[in-house]
Amino acid sequence: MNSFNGYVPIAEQQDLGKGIVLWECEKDGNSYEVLYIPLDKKYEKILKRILQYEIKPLINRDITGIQKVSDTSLLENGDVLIVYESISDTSKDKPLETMRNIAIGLSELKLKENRQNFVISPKNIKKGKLQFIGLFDFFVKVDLLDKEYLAPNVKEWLEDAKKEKPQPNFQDDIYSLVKSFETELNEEILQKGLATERTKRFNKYSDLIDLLNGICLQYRKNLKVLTKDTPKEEFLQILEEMNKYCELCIELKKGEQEQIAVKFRTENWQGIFYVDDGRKYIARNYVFIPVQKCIQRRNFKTDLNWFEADFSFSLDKDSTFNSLTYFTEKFESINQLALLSKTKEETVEKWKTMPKIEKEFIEENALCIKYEGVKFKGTNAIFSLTSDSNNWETIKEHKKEETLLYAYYVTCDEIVEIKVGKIGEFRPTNKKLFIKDILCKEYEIAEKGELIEDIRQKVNQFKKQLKACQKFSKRIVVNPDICSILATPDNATIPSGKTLTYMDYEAFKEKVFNKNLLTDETQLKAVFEAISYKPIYLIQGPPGTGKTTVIVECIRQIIEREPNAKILVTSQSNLAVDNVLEKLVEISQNEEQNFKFMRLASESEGRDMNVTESIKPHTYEEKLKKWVNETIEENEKIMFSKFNKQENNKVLVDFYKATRNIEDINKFKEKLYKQPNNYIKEKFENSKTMISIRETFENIFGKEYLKLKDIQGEWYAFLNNTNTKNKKSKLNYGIEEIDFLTAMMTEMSIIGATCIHIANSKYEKINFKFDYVIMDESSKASPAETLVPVNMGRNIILIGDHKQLPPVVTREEAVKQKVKDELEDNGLDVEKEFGESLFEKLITAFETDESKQKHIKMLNVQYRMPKQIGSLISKFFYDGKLENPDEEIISDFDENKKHGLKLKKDTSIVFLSTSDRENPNDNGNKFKRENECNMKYIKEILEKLNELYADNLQKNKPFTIGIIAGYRGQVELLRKNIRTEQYSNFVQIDENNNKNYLIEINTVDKFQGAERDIIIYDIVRSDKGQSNIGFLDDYRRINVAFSRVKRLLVVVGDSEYLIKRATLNPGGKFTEFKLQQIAKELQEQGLVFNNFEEIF
Amino acid sequence: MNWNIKTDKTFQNEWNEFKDDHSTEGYTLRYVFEIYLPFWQCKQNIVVEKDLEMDRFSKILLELISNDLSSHTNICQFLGIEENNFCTMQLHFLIRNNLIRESGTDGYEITHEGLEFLKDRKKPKTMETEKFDYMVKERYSFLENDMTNDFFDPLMPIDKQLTGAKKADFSGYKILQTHKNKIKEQGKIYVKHNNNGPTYKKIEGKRNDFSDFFNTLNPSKIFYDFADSEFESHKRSICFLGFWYENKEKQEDRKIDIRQFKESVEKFENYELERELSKKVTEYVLKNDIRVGNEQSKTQENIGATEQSEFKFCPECGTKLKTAAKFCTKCGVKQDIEVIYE
Repeated sequence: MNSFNGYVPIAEQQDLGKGIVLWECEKDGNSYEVLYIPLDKKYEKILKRILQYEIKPLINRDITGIQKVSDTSLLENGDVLIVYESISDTSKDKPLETMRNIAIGLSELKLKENRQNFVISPKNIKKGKLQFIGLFDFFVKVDLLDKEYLAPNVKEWLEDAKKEKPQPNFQDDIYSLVKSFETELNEEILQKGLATERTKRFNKYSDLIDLLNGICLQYRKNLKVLTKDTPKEEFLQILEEMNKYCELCIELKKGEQEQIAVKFRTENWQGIFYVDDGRKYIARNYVFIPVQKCIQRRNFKTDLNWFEADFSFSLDKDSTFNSLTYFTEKFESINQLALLSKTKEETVEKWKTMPKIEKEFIEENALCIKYEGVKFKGTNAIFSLTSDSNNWETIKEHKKEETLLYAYYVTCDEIVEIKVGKIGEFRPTNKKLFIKDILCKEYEIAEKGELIEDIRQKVNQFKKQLKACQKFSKRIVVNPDICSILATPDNATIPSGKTLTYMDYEAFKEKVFNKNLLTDETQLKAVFEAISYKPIYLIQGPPGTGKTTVIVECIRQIIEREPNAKILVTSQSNLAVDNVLEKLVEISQNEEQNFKFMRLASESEGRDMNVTESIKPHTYEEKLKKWVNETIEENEKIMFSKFNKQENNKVLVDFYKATRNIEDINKFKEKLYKQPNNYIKEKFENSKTMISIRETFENIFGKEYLKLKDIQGEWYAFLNNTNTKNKKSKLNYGIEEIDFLTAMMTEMSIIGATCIHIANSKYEKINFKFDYVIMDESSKASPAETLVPVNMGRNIILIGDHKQLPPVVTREEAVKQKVKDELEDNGLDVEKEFGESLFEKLITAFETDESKQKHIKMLNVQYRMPKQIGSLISKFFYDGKLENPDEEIISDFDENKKHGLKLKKDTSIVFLSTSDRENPNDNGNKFKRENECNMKYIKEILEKLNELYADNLQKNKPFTIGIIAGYRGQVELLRKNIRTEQYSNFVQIDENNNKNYLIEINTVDKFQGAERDIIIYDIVRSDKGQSNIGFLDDYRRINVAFSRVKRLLVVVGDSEYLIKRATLNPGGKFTEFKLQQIAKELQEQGLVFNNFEEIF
Repeated sequence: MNWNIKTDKTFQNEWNEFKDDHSTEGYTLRYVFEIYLPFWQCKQNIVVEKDLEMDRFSKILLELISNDLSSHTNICQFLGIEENNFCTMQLHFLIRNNLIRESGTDGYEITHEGLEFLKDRKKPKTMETEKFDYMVKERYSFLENDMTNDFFDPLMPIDKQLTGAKKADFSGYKILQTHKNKIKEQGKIYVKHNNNGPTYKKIEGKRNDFSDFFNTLNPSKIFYDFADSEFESHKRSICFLGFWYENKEKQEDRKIDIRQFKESVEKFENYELERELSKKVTEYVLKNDIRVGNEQSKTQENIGATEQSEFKFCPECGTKLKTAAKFCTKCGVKQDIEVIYE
């Protein structure tokens, strides 16, 4: 047997007959069990339906007692593969435990999805798992069910050709399950499980599970319990509960000697028992319970230290295991876990700090009016404000803005926020505030409290981040294994998975879609490893190294290998998401590969700005609109082709459509008389009843046409109610009704959304689970932001560059100060703690750990900048690891990167110094730093460039200029003084007279991710004497600014100050003054010029 | 243990009306007071069986199939959709509910059930997960043989002895959020909630009672099972009027009547006696030797009883501590542990 879709058969495991064979297979070094089903027209449709709606939703789901489905695949010839995870040998499992586990799994499927009817017989219960989940209908169709284990009514149903007997249901599944374990079970279960009549059988899985639990309990190991006095009746009750369900927590009591004590809690009781006597560690075969210390249980926080006892307690029977060894070992392992867990908790707590404080800051600054009394009068409420209320101006503003207010008060149990309404009137004289048309009831709000503004929109993103942190810390994520890797990358281990060989790599090269990758080894390897080394892979992409290319190839490879995979493409910015999706559109248009993808974005007015034009048709609303229109169009075509004659009688068809729902003859006649068409009037004027009217229509059109026309009407009504605002039309998926957004989403392989939007409440009913989460610009996102999408992924691929801009700690100085104060108490630094992305934390940890190094890759060839600039960037920011393209591969690289100016020196970098100009210093204003001298010089440079690039607009792609200043104040000054329209050779005008300015002025932050042909970088900072360079010490800002350039980099600043007088921040985060080093290097190379004449 | 009951004239009318209620048994009315009794509001996901309602799209498909447009290809063609379009999930839904079945290689046929459903004569059963919100009576922890954690519907009277007509006229209890009783007012009695409130395990253990309760409350649905172990419980209170009677001969012999008043029910009509609650509160008062205002137990025996109730046990190690203790004298654990309800 040849390999199918990459699954290489190793051995035949089971021949089920009719050509259906279960194979043991291998793919990418992993073992699978593959059910091969040959194509047969007789069951093709049914099999496709089952695959689509029964099997696919189960892919990669862990269900107790059920063999996991890994994939489904359709071979070119139409044969079908269902791939199952290979089951590890769990031969230790006892049959009853296996049965209980299967019952638990089937119960979960019944309860959550109303799934029933499974193939159950001893033949397909293997190594403790039930095989062939979801294939019952198919097994019926191909007659492969093991009849010996079927309930009598199911056999009858199978034999009934008309299938009019009652359909099999879950009670019949229970029958088969009990029958499969018949020899192991007691009379009670057999009687209820195997009753001939369904009504006498188990009608819930839980009843069966309870009985099985009881039996399993008998086989548990035993622990002998001693008490000081003869135990009273009350203690026997406690003991009974302990044997039903008991949680334990081990402690080492430190007295004179160490003693192992175990706290226990049952449903109603709690207490403690001692494992040893504290004098010496001598194993004894009992535990001691001081009965007087047993008290009624209180509810506690559940934490990791508590675990369920897997043995029973007895006063009479001897222990069947060594309790001291057992509890000592357990204590040690739990302690290790607890330590890891503590570190993890602390890390997550730290991640939570920033969104928490940001949220608090917004809340604290929101409108807040204290009230001390409230009276309801009809639909209005009058609040008596406290005597110190004096913020009337603010109240006035909020009245004008129609701010929605909430009543807020704190009780001993919780914080209550109730929607109240908008400000109607207010009277400063008697401190009264009126809310008109109050939205709540009187008893819902406290008599004293606060009225606050609705800030949900503002705090939303921070709330999402906090929620993501909480879920992460509780491991309520798609792949809980990722939690410890992310929180404690230094200690956690990554599951080893497969090791890739040279052969694998060579084979992969053959399958690469974008052949350009073959000339860039790091790009190629990054893709190859990212889809192989799971569950986490990090790609560092310095400027211009082709991150988007790598992401797109990753997506293509994943879809090729796992056609059922769901991928989330995300980033902090909309633009980065769209960059990837645009490439996918291009590929689809070239018909190289077809992608089913959807862009999710906020429906607010801002979407026009957020989503790129070419991606807009791929947003949900647009897709739905298009689908509805196309569907209606198709339907009309069919009706027309089938009922050409009738459809051509348009006037009468329209009249039928307008009157078909009328039941009253008088109303019909009213409509008829309004008809301008005499032909219609003649046809119906003699009709006396609605029945005769119907008959007339039937005589003209035919019954079949009318029936289908009615159904068509219903179908259009259904389609017209599918949009998001009005979700009246729903589809049924499994147990629940779903709207069209959710339904369409099930078809999509790729979802694109920003990391905050994907958690939008709009999708709260959709349980997002992605096989891969690919996050671009990860180094710019804070850990809390990163967790939002990461929590949704089984495998994570993070792309970023920690040598470029870090996450923005906060835009609010006050927030920063608050965090700073909090951290400094603990000896921590705000920038260090929060200026680091999760990407940086991980890559730093992975770099130093040999076992994790294979999970990272740096893309090391830059394709954006001229070689001269590329080398400079590499030397100063990437330790020389960033390379320029090999000449053998791109021979005309330099040629393509030329700026085209005839300079006196052949260079792509020019440092135009202001040192010799009049007053080169900045204004010294910390809060609004400006440098007029630099501004004037940049104006001159622009004039010169405009003159030199006289033919710019004639180029295929005219050159663009980016002016970057390190300070916001200077950006404002530049914008105020530079009129970009003045430089006519950098203003494009299209046929509609729309102007496109090719010069942009902005801060570094705004330029990250972008590129320009010419970059003018304004250093701004300059001082007469020696002074601190300020935040220009952050080399990452310089890296981003310089690496935006494609052809010519012009640096403007006071070179003398920079080289001789500027100093680093003492005690700052950065120990190397990279900007100064670069300036010195440029000076050594003779690239610092004091005036135009020296270079132009 | 003392209750500070205010004896002013707020409830003069009520006093007059009920002062002689137990005089023939030798009891005199001593106090009338507002009493907040504890209850729990619980929320839980449950799976219920209910009738499947006909939706528009199912009807369209059933109509098409019953009108001989029964092959998958033809259905999709008529609708104008591709054969593997997401909308075809509805056909799978109809098959799973036995409303249609597959026939031949590409066709469907409507089942007897499907036909009945289409004609609105019979509805198939379906399962649905829903969030169920219900009330549970507090267990008075100090009472033995207490009817523990009974379910009740706040729209129905707690007193099961009432006649059908009285039950039908009942307007429903006013359920208060206990946390709003934060500012305790002099003269009002707040009976505290038990720390050991309802949990999933406890409710699960009363599956049959729960099932009866749900099915009675929702005649159109049948409780099937709990969907998961997620469980919320919140403290709630209902405010009643308490009437404190004392035996003329023996002051320690007390009787408390709990009656509805305007704060207890949505539409107050009369001071309905809550028999079950009266019994429980009386027992509670007697068991805990609850006295009123500054009244102190005079006998040594009574002092002992008062002291008894001023002790508590450390939840960590079980050491007996004074009620006011903030830290355990043995293990040092802080005593104001935050109680998290499962």
